[in-house]
Formats: sequence, structure tokens, C-alpha cells
Amino acid sequence: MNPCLRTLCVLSLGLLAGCATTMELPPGFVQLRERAEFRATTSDEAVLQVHEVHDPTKASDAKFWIDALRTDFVGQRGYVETGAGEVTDGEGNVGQWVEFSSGLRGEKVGYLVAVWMRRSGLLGLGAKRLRVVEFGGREAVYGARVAAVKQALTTLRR
Amino acid sequence: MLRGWMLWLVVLGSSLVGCQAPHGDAAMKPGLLLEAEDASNGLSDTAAAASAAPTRGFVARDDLTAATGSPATPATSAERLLIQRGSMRLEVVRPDDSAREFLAEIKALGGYLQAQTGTSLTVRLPAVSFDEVFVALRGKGRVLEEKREANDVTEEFVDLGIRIDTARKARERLLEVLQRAEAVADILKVEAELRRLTEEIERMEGRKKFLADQVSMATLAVVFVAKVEPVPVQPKKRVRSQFDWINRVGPESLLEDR
Repeated sequence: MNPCLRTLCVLSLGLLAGCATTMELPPGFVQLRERAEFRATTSDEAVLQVHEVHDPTKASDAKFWIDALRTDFVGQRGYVETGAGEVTDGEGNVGQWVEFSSGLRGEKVGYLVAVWMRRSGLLGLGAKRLRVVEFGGREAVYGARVAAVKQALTTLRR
Repeated sequence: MLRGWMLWLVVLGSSLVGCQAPHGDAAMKPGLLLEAEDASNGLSDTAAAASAAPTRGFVARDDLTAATGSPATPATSAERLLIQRGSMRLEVVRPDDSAREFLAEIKALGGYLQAQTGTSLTVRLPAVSFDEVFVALRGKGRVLEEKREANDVTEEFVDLGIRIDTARKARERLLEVLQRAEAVADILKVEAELRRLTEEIERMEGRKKFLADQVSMATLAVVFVAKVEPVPVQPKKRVRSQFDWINRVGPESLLEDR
């Protein structure tokens, strides 16, 4: 192979690797393979998942999206908000989180969602996107693991 | 002239009967009491039944007639004449069934239905059973409202008896005077006074009968209302978010996505 082409391929692979989401997993979590998005779970069925979604608005921030989540989760789905705050990821981006209590299959579950605004592309010059992290599990499992998950969010990197 | 004076004295004395009830000789003798009640076609069936009932709440004829030869004595504190009334509002599972059962129980006790509108009943029942029925009613449902009252008519009842007796005696004396009267004017005056006395006696006897009935049969008004079940809250139909990604996140999709 042409040395230049080889170099280009290696660099590309490196860049692609750098685009993958990384996080220091909390104790007990294992990452699932063959998933397009980052997804990790525990033996007691707590789940941690990271999405990247397109920002459909022209100008919004994490607080706007947290409020939009509240409107839907509390106003329409009947969840109960149990906490909210800010969180800074491993790249220094300040995001917002909110947690809820709800019922699922007849039992209470805890659920946390965190949102960051970020720009796609190599130098952050691409389109605006939202990084959304979800964590959920049965009430007792959630309560036991949520502190470690919040800590893990601070290690989140692209 | 002496007859004239006697006539005026009798008329004056009978007029006073309507104003006050003299005591002393106006004792209620057993014979007079029976005669008065028999003269007004006797007691009603209910009052007659009550007169055979225990003395609580009603002084039976025998008790009253026991005071032979002695001045009329009011009933003792243990034998007060009380008109008992009560009302209760009950929340029950099935108001129609409860009303029907209650009415059957009242009839079994010797009572009867006085008025009914739906499951709202007014019944008359023997006074001796009133307390028992009232307490038992509390156990038939949730009591929303209850009220009881007892109106003591002992004094009025005894007073009426004395006044009736006095009036009758005055009427007897007037009848004697009428037999001896010769002048038309005197006859007309005596007859007028006799009519007035008779009306007065009938009015007082009616009042006494009414009191006897009220005392012997208590009145109870009961309303049975249906138990109000809490309205089940219908789950709100969810209006989906305008943002598609929000519709795709949440504990349902996170925890059930295998």
C-alpha cells in the first residue's frame, strides 16, 4: 500500500476511535457489544446508555432540554421529579441532569437523564448535537448505584 | 232571686275554668278519668297499647287512677312524660335494602311508617323501644348526622287532666241549674255557657289525646344514602412531545430494550 494512504488510514482509524464515547464505568457495569450506542448494564439490571441526537433547534441550551423533558415526563407521563442539578463531563462541558421516580411493570423505578450541548466534527465546527445519558433501574438498585453513575458522568468523553 | 244569684255564681265559676285550674278538691278520681276518656270514644288503639306498656315515658291509666282520694300529684321524676324525636342520616352500601329492612324491624316492634320519600323514612315506634332502635341504627352504616330530643310534657298533661275534670264538674252543675231555670233568658245564658264549656272540654281532651299519642309513640326520621365510591381516575391520554428524541427516551425504552 502507498505509505501515504497507509498513514491516512491509520490516522482515520485513530480519529474514529477518538469519536467513540468513553466513560469510566461505575463498579458492576459491563459494556454491551454490538450496540451502535454506548450501553452498559449490571447483573441486577440497571442500565446506562449514551445517545447523540441532532439538535432540531437553532438556539437552545441544556436547561431548555431539561425543561422540555420535565414537561413530557411529569406533565404527560406522570413521573415524579426527585432531583436535578448540573454536571460537568470529562471534556469540561457543563450539562444538566434531572432524575425521576416512576412505575414500570408494577414496580417503582428510578431514572436519571443528563443532557449536554456539543458540536460535532473534528474541531467542534460541525452541527449542534445533544449528548443524552440515561440511567435507570428498579428503585432499590437505582438508589444503590446512582451516586457512582453521577461520578462516572464526569469522566464522559467523546 | 236566690236562683238568679246561684245562676250568676255558677256562670262566673265556669268562666274561670278557662282561665285557671283550681287545685285542692279537683282531684282526678279514677271514675272520672275513665268516664272522661270513655266519653271521648276512649283512647286510640295506639294510646291504649301504650297505656299497657311499662311506665317509662307514659303514666298508665292504672298509675293515674292509683291516686284515689288524694290531691292530683304530678308524675314522679322516674315517670316523666317525654315526647321523643330523633333523626339520623346513614351512609350505607344499598340504601333501598337498608330502608326496607329498617321498616320491617319497626313494624315488628309495633311501629308504623308515617312518611316516606325514596330512602328517607319517618316512622312512629313505641317509645320504650326508641333508645334501643336508635343505638342499633348506628351499626347499620356510617352515621353522617344524628339528632335526638325529648320534650317533657308531664306538667301540661297533668294540668290538662285537672282542667278537664274541673270543667266537667262545672258542666254538671250548669246542667243542674238548667233543669231548675225557668226564665227564658236564664235558660239561654246557661245553654250558651254549656256550649262554651263543652267546646273547651273537647279541645282539652283532644290535646291530651294528642300528647298521649306523642308520648307513647316516638318519631324517628331516617335517611339512607348510598356510600360514595371514589371516582377512579382515568389515565390521561399522553400527548407526545414535539421533539422526537424525547419520545424515544425514558425508563420504559431504557429498561425494556433488550
